[in-house]
Amino acid sequence: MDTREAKVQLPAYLIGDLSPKEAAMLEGHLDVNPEAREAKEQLSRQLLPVMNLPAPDVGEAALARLFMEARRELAKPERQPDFSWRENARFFMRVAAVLVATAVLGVVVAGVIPSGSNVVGSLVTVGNDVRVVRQNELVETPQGVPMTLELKAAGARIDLDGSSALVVRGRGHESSIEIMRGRVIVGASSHNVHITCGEAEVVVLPRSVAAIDFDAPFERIRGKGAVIELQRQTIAHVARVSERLFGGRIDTAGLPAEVANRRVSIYGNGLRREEFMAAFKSAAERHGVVFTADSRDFALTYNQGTAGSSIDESESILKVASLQGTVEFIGEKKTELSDRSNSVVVFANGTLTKSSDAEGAARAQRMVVWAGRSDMPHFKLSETVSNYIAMGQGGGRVITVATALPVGTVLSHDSIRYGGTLVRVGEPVKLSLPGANGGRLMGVMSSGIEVSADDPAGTRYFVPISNSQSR
Amino acid sequence: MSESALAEHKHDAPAKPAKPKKGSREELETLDDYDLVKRFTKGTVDAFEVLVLRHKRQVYNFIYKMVGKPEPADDLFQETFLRVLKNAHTYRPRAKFTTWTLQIARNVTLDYFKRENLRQHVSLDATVPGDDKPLRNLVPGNEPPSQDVLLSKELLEEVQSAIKRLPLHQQEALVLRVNEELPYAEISEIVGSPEGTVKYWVHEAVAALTRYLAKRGLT
Repeated sequence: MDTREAKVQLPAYLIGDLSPKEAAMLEGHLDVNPEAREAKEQLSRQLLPVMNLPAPDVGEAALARLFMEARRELAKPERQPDFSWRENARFFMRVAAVLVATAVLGVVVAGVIPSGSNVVGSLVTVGNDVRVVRQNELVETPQGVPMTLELKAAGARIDLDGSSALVVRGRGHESSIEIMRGRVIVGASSHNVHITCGEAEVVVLPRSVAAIDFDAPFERIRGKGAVIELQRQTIAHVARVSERLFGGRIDTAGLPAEVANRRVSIYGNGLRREEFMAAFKSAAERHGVVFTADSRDFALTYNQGTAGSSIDESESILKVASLQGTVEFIGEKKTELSDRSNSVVVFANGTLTKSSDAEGAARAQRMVVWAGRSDMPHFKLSETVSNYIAMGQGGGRVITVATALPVGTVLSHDSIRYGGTLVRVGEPVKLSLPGANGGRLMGVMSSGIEVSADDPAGTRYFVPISNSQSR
Repeated sequence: MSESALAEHKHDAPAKPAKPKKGSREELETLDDYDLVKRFTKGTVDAFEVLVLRHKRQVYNFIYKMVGKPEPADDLFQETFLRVLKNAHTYRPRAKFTTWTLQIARNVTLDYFKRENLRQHVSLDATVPGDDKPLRNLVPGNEPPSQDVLLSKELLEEVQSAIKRLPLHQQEALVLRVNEELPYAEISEIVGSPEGTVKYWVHEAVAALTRYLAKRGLT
């Protein structure tokens, strides 16, 4: 085989069209021919995007229309099966049994629950699965897996980012949801949507869209070193978790209670002991807590002089932004919010700061609410929020890259540990981005990071965290 | 062993998994495609829904990659499965259900192109406006190709539009082989052409695309 023959066979080889014998022959040739090997690598680069085209899913609305149409079609009289007399008798007996059972059940149920079904009737799409959500059912998304809910009767659409949770409370036109944690976009088309987040209440008026980031205490750990989500947990609690997961003993006795109760967040998956401990160490250090290791024992000591001043000590933080239309805060006057998305309101521990205040406006300008999915066909969002959303400093569109951060990356609330290096928000990060080999870390969320690329335009990218379970 | 101990022993034995109730969603999910077809032709709408949910990804992806836009893709998906519903009595299990459904999806898509007069094949080797924009800005510079390579949405859109500029027979063969990873025998059945011909189309499509991507600076 020569170089020309090898090059001719390469496309077929890369898409798996060569027989095992032919493939082995070509591989043997590639081992000894650097020119052919280079051609193979070049062709792989070109074929990579062809083989990795996105595989979108059919829209929920289309699916719902199809099922409705199918029901209509199957209900047509000419489609009824041609029963024999025996089958006819059996059929009528079954119908009678069902009618009796329904009547009995109706009497029982009427006395127990209020009128109306408890089925909210919202279709939820998770990957290839479509199901119905019931009233008061907790809907949770795992890390890195977004979900869409459609409350049909209320004309509302809800996009949940990964690591988020909510409960659907209302039914029919009176839709109401309680956000337990995470990042959620709520769009109302024909009716108000009432939202409760901790102590706060928000109403999204018709033809309006709100983005909400509710950073509340939460813990999920799936197996040793697997998915770890420790959100706004106390230093003392994280120390206990690290003992349980990774062994060793962590002495928190020397910490003042006030310091031990300060909160940190750590997210990651496939983490090794060293990665988790390093993330905990740097998270604790920001609170002036020094972490020392001695064999398998660790100690935490407090040094007031090094305590960070910019750390928010609230148990939970709620950020609400209106992407379109009007969002009303209960007990407050209506806030008209422009599609520039610069009107961000912040609730921290029940204290409301509004963008109309000078301080609130300044904070809003610095703040990234979150980055997540917002491909909502019902709403025509402005360019600034048309794809992935990031608001605050600079604003603008954020492009999401198709590949996730590798397994073993650790995200804390203002830093990431990536490839053995700790990078804080605002610092340069080395990362393979389209058109650039790195950029500046702009924000960290439980679902991924936002990076401003080292290109002349400073393009913003959102890089999700991997949801894969193995290294 | 005393009677009560025996009863306890019996209780400890692993319980047999309960058989799903006939006609329930759980039971339907255990049925094969042909049985589901038989069920919904008798009026069990849930059987149709289970079948759609089982195959929606593959069918939708084929349609989406052919038309390149979600709106017509949603409509054509719906039309495909309604044709499946109306013609289910003609389905025979000698062909795989997915092969039969993809044949229908292909016909629906071809009808759409005809109806909308949309297919205007532009050679990938021709120069078109925008061709001067190098693709290399959309991919990592000197990095070796690896799993860590990040593919931007823009690059994937470029490739999608390049695929749409292939001749129709090459496009459908490429999507079914490279994206859906179907065996040539099945693709041959779907498009109604011999296996050798389909293979030739796929290789032609790959060659045209890589030529185009190289010309645009993705090397």
